[in-house]
Amino acid sequence: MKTVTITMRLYGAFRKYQDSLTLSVPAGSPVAAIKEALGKALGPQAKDLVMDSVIADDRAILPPGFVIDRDSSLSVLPPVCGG
Amino acid sequence: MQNDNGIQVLVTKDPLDVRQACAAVADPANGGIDMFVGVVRDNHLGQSVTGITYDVHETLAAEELMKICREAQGIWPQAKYFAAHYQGYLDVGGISVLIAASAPHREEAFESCRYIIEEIKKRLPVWKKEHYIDGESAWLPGHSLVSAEEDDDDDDHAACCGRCGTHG
Repeated sequence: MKTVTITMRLYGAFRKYQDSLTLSVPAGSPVAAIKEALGKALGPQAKDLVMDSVIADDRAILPPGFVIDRDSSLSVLPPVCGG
Repeated sequence: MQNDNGIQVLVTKDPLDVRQACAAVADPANGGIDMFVGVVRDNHLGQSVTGITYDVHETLAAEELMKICREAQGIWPQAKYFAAHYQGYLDVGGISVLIAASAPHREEAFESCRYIIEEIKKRLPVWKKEHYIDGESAWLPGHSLVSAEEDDDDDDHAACCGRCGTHG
């Protein structure tokens, strides 16, 4: 099975874990599966924060069904509080 | 700085400049300029605050600022817009967000400026870490973007819920 490497940048409250991490997931994984892999990588203490967060590339928030079929640089965005 | 047909947006580590914002929207056809200046306050929920670190997804934040201003322009097409957000650490009193909207009349200027700040609070990929006088610090809660990942058809443009801590 072909895998792809996701370089995930972490923001806000995720920074208490690390600033970025690398995930290996099957090619063709939807964003929802990548979010699940992120939750596993960070551990159960991050579960609620991951559920309240979204995955984005540098242009837009990606819907849960969006398929990742190549190595990618993504970001996880926890709840925002600009201003 | 991004410019687009009467809109200027900026995400920066440099101090935000009120005069720059005012000049950016100046237009002889527009008789009113409304501004919102968000600054770091020295208290939150009973704690003494010494400063805030603003963590920002720079490219997405600039995109979203532009998108918000374009939405405003769709509603108030004669207005001109400037919207900027700071990235990094600010002491109390530092300017974190700066919005200016000019319009032919005050009503559009007030309403469009208000629209932009409320959308920023709900949508901009920015996260605040408050620093307290006792040396502790904490990330503030905020507005989840989970509904935005399905679609951008958010159901309303209601005012910010108030959980995120800096309602100037």
